[in-house]
Amino acid sequence: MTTPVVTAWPLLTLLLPLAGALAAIGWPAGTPRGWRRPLLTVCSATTVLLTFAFVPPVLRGLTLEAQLLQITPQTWIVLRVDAAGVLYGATAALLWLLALVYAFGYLHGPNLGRVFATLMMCLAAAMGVAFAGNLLSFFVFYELLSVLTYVLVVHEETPRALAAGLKYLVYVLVGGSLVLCGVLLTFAASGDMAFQAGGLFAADVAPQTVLLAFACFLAGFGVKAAIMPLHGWVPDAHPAAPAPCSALLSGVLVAAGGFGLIRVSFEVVGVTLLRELGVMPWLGGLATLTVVVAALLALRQDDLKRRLAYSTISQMGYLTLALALLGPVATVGALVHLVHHAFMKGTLFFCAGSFAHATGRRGMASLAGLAARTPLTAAAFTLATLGMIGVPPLSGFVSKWWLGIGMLESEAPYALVVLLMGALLAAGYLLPVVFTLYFRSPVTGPLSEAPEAGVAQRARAIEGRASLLLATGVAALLTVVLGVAANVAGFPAALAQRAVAGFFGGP
Amino acid sequence: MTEQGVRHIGPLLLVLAPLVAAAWLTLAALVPALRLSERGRHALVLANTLLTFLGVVALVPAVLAHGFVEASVPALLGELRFRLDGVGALLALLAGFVWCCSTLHAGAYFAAEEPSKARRYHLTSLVTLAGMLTVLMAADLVTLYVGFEWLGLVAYLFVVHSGTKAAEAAGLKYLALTLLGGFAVLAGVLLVHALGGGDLATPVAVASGQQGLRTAAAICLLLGFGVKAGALGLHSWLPDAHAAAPAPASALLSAVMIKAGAYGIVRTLGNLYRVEGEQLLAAVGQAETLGLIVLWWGVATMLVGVVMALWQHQAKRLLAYSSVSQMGFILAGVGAATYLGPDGAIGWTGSLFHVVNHGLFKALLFLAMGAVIAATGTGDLRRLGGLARRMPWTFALTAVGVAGIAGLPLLNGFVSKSVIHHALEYAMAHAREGGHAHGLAVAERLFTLTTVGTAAALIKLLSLTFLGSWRGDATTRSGGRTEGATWPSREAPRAMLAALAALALAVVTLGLRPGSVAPLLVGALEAWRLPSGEVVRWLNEPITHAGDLRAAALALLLGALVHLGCARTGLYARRFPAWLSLDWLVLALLRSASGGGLALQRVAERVSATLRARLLAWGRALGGADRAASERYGSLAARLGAGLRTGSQVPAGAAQEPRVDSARTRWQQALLAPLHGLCGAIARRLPERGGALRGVARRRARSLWRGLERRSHWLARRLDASWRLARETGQLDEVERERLMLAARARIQRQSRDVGLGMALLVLIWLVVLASFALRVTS
Repeated sequence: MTTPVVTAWPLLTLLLPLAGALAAIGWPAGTPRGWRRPLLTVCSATTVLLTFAFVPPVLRGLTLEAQLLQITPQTWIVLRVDAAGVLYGATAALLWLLALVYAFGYLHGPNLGRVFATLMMCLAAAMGVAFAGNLLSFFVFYELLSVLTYVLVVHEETPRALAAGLKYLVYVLVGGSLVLCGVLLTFAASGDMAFQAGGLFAADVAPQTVLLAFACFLAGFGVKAAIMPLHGWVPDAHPAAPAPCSALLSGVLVAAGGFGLIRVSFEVVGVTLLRELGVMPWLGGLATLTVVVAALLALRQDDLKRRLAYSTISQMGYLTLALALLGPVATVGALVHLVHHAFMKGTLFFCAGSFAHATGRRGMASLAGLAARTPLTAAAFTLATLGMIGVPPLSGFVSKWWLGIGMLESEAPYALVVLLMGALLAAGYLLPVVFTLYFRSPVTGPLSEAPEAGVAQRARAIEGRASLLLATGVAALLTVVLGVAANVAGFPAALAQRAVAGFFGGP
Repeated sequence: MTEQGVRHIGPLLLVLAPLVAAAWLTLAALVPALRLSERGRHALVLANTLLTFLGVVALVPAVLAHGFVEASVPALLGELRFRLDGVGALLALLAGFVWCCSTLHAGAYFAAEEPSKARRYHLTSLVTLAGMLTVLMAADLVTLYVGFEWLGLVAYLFVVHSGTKAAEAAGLKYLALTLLGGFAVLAGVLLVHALGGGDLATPVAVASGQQGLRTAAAICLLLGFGVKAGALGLHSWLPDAHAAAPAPASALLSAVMIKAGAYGIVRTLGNLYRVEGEQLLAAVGQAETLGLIVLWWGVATMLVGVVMALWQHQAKRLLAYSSVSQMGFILAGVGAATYLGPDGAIGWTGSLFHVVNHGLFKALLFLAMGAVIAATGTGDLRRLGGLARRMPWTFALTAVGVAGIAGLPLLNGFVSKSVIHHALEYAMAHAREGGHAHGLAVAERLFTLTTVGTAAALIKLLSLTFLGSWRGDATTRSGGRTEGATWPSREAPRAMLAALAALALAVVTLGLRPGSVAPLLVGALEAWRLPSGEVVRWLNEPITHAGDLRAAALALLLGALVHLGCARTGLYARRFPAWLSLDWLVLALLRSASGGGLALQRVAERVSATLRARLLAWGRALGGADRAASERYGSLAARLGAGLRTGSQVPAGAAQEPRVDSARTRWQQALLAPLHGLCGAIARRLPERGGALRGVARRRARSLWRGLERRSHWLARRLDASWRLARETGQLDEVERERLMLAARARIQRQSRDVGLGMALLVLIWLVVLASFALRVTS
């Protein structure tokens, strides 16, 4: 392992979004209103470029480090850029930029400054999660991200949103305290916190202590990663939040739980210790349950966003399942799937938002025949659906391939069955939506005639709004590009392989 | 002996050419400056398919000279690798040729359609052509899978082209089965990769302990490709999809695309599961078993397919079932070849040649029926008739196709069927076990029976369409349909006839000179290290073989008799009972599954209700226990107090006892008296204290609960208020409001439960934290 290069660049990934947050609330005073959005976009886009700039050095095997502040003599808030972090960070930053662009066209009404400022602060927190160099830093940014997201969930301030926000808050705070518990236990037992491939625990630490700490992490991150008994907040928070925020919830926030699990499994506890503990088969069982049951539940949801939320639970189950196998290739699959899923689900949520905007309703019936009015959005939705099913050459196929090969390499053919069943069920809950979009004729009756005219008008407005189309289109394009060019250096697969080589103590 | 391959850009160009044309068509539709006329678009598509066909033809010499032609392009997981070898070239030639004929036919067929639909058809056709060629030229399983999925999913647009309800239903069925098949193939591909294989040229290694995985991979691949090939049990999409698609597309589906499934099975058994030199005995046994399974699967498919075909009234459905049956022939040949292992060359020769032959005559028949449907407006055999008078050329060319498929000597179907028949006989003679030999004898009989059925079904098609008298004006309605049938005003258009004639010419040519495909077959067999010296003899033999000629004549004669018999006795009008159909079975299964799901849900609801009641009861019991405990505590304290009090009174009673050490006792008394007094006081206070504590706990719990209730009531009030508002402003209709109201009620209930659970969890967590730190401190 090479010594880390100390540099201030990682700091910028935090500061830029924070500057954006200031710009969003109109600071410094006197900034013309028209400048806010360009400023936000520039801040977000620069963050994306910065994360991309980390890719080449990381692929060369370097780690960049920046120390932020000292809390106690032993504990620092440290930023460290490594392969897994860049993978998650670049995904989060890019999806954030797309969501931001989408939000410019989507969000209207009061409290815009609040929501945009929160979005930017959340981006900073997400960057912190990606680049945290030790457990404490990770926890701090993770909690920040969780709590700030509450503002996004309740943005609409309807009773429904408030209720969902309350539920969300209870869940993530409980999860957060469990994570804190794990952090404290780890620190008490090992006296160290910096992420380190192979784990922190010395050989003489009692296995019960490790088990307890890992159980805390598992339950804590499991809430965020929506492992099945802990998933309750997901299907309520996603439909309540505005569409761009739902995309972020799905692509970045739920993934943060999975990312935390990966960090903790490989860089806090370590592979060898985990194998000895023997908890992973149990986790695998839970993940199987998550994949299948969530997909079955998704089948019967009428609200499109709720359906997508259950789909997220199911898809994130793949990640947990692959992690539970503790095989190198499966872990590559998990990391790659994290990225690919983010953009596919982002596309789907963007489209769902556009549809809801066009019809003014939720529910499948309102989507009937909408493809004729919003052809491009419907095409993007179809593309992302095919990606979710895993049709080559889209990105979903590539992650499924890595996952499948990894599962077989870890000698767990049952996991392959789960994977394929999940994909089949994904076809089952997403293709009917596509069918409805293209083939069902809109319900016409005395009641719906008046709204019908409005729908046509609004649908035109949706397709005419550049920012919505741009964000949806770019996300859909990424679904294709990430699939077709999956093997290019610097793309998720290469980064994930680099990261996994570190986790498993390879070159 | 051939050399070891050559790199060439050809395969890439072949895949790209149709895609470029498709891109041009799309652009032309979007950019006004590039707009194409109807004629121009058709010319572009036709020129492109022709170019692709000629491209394949141009590659054939290189394939013959070097064994195979290779190319690769970086994409996806590494690179997509292409390799055109003998088998691939044979099928690619077929695909290119049929595609040209179908496109030529489509120009006339879609003349009356609206331009956007014709454009969509042509786009679909070009993209599927590229997919088909990718399948046929794939060098590894990943590329094959990519092409296979691409082909299958895009062809969905063919099925739903007409946009009718029936087409939509057929499309749904097609899509579901295609996806299922695709997943099975993907599972197989992943398994083969996990076993270290993946390249189509090398067999999957046989490692000890991995027999199970190897078998699983074979089963997955066979099932997945079997869906596309229309093998029995997985064929139910085929008749619906073929009948729903427009005729030129049916021709493509039936003549070429389902061959992608057969091709996959050929590659699986011929390449991946081939037994080579010093393989383990296990591999030999496995290949034999797989061969027998596929053989019997094929025999069952051919028999059921032909029976179903015989009872169809729609021309295209009849042809579709006949395709199922013909795929059974191919599968039987492949199975026999795999069973025979190193001696299986004859089986491969027969089945590969039959793949080509069936492609040619089935395309011819579908296109001919397309001409009939375009002219009369119906494909219902009960209403057609006598068309030979108005459409003599169509009749003559259809007759060639019917004769080809029915196995008339001097035409191609006769040759390939005879070779497959010889392969079956050969397998029977060389069976290693007596049981196998008896079984194969039965299979051989069934094979003969099927040839009779094929002849009968196709003679039915020909005679009911073209012979006899026109029945279209009769008032009989087919199952409530009100489709109009019109007596055609003229012969089919020239373009259609040209397409039919080209196909008929190929049917005759291959029948007269079957040896012309031999070089490509020899190349394929050499690549599989099988003896290929006798291929030409096998192909030329049937026409001089008395047994084959007799069998063919018998089949044709009996077929004609069966048709006449069924037509005279009205047997055709008989319907099969519904429960015999596969769809009925699947639907019944689905119904019972959903019923089971509902039952499960009810059980889950009951369990959760019970749990909730139990929890509440527990809570109440806990409260009771708390009260009881505090009472017990109080009484204990009272008793203790009483005991202490009596203890402090002991010295008074002890006065009578002998004084041992009065001074000390006094001291003690003096010291202990205040202590006893204190104890007494405490003991007297204790019960009250217990009561107070109990009261506090109860108050806490009550306030917590009240808070929760207040919160949920507040939420409910807010929701109600917002609904009132919504109703007043008329944004929600009544029904939706009701639904939302109920949902929200449920959500609030759930939420209050969640909050309670969350708090319980929080308490638990802090207990754990405290406990762990206590552990830490004590250790």
